[in-house]
Amino acid sequence: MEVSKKRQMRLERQRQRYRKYLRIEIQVFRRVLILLCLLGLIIPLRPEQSKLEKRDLEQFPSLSVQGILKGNFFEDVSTWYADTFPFREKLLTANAAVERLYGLGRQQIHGNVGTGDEIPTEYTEADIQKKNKKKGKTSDKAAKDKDSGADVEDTDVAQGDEGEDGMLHEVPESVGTIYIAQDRAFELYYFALESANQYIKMINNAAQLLDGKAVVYDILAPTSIGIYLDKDIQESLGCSDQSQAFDYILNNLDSRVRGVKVFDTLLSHNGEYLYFRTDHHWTADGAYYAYEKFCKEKGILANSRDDFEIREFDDFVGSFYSFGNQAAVLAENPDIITAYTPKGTNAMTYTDRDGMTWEWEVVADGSTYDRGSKYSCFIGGDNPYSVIQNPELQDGSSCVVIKESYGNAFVPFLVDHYQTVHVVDYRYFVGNIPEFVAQNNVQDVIFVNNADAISEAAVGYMSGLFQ
Amino acid sequence: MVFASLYFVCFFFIIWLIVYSNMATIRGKNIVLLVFSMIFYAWGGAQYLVLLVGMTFAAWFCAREIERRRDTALCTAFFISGCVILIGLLCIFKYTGFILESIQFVAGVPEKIPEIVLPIGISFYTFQLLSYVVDVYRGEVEAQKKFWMLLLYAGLFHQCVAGPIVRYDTVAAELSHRRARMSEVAEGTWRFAAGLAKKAILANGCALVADTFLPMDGAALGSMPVSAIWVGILSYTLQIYLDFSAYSDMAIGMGLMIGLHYQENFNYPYIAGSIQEFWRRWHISLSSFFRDYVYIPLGGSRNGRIKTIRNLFVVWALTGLWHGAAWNYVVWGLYFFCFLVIERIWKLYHFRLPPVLRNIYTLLVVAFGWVLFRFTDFSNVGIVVRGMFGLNGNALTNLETTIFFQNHCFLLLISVVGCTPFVAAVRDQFRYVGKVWEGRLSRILYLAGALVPVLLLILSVMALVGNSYNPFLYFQF
Repeated sequence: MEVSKKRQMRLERQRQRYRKYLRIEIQVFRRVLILLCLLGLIIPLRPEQSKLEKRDLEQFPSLSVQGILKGNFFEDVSTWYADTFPFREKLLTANAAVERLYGLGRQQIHGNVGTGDEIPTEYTEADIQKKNKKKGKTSDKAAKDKDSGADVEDTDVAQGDEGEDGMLHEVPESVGTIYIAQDRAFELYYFALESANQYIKMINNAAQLLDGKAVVYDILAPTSIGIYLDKDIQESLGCSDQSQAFDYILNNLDSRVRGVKVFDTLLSHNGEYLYFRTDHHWTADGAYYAYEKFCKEKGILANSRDDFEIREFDDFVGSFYSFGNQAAVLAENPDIITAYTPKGTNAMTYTDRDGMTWEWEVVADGSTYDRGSKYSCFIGGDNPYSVIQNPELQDGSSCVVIKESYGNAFVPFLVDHYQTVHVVDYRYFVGNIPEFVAQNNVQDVIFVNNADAISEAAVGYMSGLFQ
Repeated sequence: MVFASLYFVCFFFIIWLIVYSNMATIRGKNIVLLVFSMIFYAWGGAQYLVLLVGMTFAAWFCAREIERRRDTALCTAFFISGCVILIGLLCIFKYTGFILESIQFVAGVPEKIPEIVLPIGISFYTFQLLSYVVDVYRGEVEAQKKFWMLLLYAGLFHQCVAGPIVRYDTVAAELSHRRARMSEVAEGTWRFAAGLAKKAILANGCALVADTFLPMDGAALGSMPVSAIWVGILSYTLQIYLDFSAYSDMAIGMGLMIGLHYQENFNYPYIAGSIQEFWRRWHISLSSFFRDYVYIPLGGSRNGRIKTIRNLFVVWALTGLWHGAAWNYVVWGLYFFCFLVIERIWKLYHFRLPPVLRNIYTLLVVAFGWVLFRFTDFSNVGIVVRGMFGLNGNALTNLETTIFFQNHCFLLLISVVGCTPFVAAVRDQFRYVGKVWEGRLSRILYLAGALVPVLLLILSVMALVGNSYNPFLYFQF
């Protein structure tokens, strides 16, 4: 009797305790969910832009009867709700940390692996003819690309506004598929024959139009994959050989064009810090070798790196980080930016995409910029038009650099060789280069293009400057 | 609205739960349930709500008349018209394009095929209403007097858009009298959280692998190395189960939280030892629907071998067609029909594989079935088959495949474990410990187990942030 009563008491105690546990299980779940719900309702906490992805987030949709009947309105509300969830970036980073546990992750690929076009060893007229026929359509498309590019610019302007408080944002030039091995990221390179032919045509056309007025230099910059990644691995990823691609382009340029191939020089120095590990740009040291090669081609004496005032900005984690799903190895191994301040002057003026003019510095203090934007320390980032006047020179010498962001690290080296350096970012500049050259009495037109800029869209923009 | 979205979980669901819990009477609770269900349904397009309400009204009206005019000729007339209306509307909205396209392919007419948008969940709620009308006609359940209560049954947001296909008699009593026991509420919370994580983390992760290795584009598919094709098929096999069963888990979980008991829809189908067993474990509510309302009325297996095979053929052609209005789904259904016939023949000759081989055979048949299921375009199926055996001229593997596989190997492993009863067994052990053991260790163990749902919730929310593109596989059915 006694025993069974004890047993019953014990069972009752167990039952009570079990119920208590169940209540905890249920209540903790509900309370956390209520907290999340309240958090989601605090509208001011919702971000409007993503620094990580460099894009504007979804906006709350506008109401329409049609949208309600068909359901798009509600669908858009759901998308907006998720896309602008408070602390989105922190949650994304946390999620990326979880996703790293999905596998071994010694190497990573983000994006699709494809194959490049075969690189011809010769360039035949027939080829051009054929391509030109097809081109009719493509240049239309390129023009359209440019139109849509204008839209992109508009949205970029909103981001550019941040520039005023020193938070400059780099517009990434379409970072493609990213391959990460050890602590270094690469962008896969695929040769596109049609774009290359279009590029050749564009440069030759420029030389033709500027014949007798200015000398055209074409500096072709490899990207890090061509310099730092083992050739076999490049091949197994289906990547094209950048050296061959540059040879193809340079061999087919008009004899008036002074082609500058920096691939071999950079390759022979690939023990040095020529490219960032976390970003798709070259370092100022990489750009320096291109500058040296350019000086040789132009027949002037290049300055030694020791002649410049050297500044360093550490803790740079660039585009590969945000486009490589925030790979931890990159965040844990930030890059250091070394910048060489020109001797003649560090003052420049640039016009932003709203047409506003700003006094700026050729090499600005990158240490105040946020982690992902430090490459903007060079010539104020990507602006439609910048100009640097060197008070040390009064010889009337001047050049115009036509560039995408690879040119930014390169331009500071030119400052000491020209009285005036004009810089044009072909993606944003509106104008005609031959006219510009005539008006400003420019002697050298210098193209600085990286391997990935030999693309249909980029060539479309550049061609536009000569029409 | 899909269950595995931030908006549903962090807004709709929790607000519904709070409002519902604060209702004192069952009537109040039911009204809340109905209002939220209608909002949920209207979320996918308010115009389709008209169809749901209209079809429910037709079923309600016919069933009421059937009961009223029992034993008269009109009774059967109402039964037939009810079925015709329900099946007819399903056919119009789901199969018009398919039928016309097929006719166009053969005869060249009509020239223009109207584009009809498939109303969300129509395949599921039509079947629920059909089962209701048939059951009333058979005298197995009483007709529902109140229209709004039938609308609540058919439109209940837990299962209206993606199953399980709940029979009316399963929930008829609970619609008007129900009690949520605490142990069941806890179980429901678990099921809900587990389902959410299954979809948001595992299924979406597997989908990424599947989409990379089994692209829809024929040219890209043809360049995939052999290993990529196999890993792709594995991932897709995992994805489709995790995805669909997750939806049922969440539905069953939400039901349990408020005292509604829906039928289990999946019972670890990938541990089955035969195709027949697989279909007893996969989407149970659908296979039992076809068994009770098609196979058995046709005579089942009691009228000789020829008729049995005919009945099986009808059931599997319909099962295929239910999954999608395209020929590949019909082929997919008949593919299973073939194996079911083969298994019947084996049985006649007492042929039996050893247990492990039985499971491998089943998995291979099912996994290949998913290839038929995935590609609407038959030429892509051919590419996959050739690719499986290296006949597309591609290497055994390449760097991309290796890297991608390495980066997702643990995810796939966890997904495989998620398809087995292992996780539930571990959880039951925790439950047991919390119930019976004494002492501090048991408390800690149990409390740790009790926090798993919250942990899964937080992980899922993280996975869903920025993942607004999150299509649910079965939504179109």
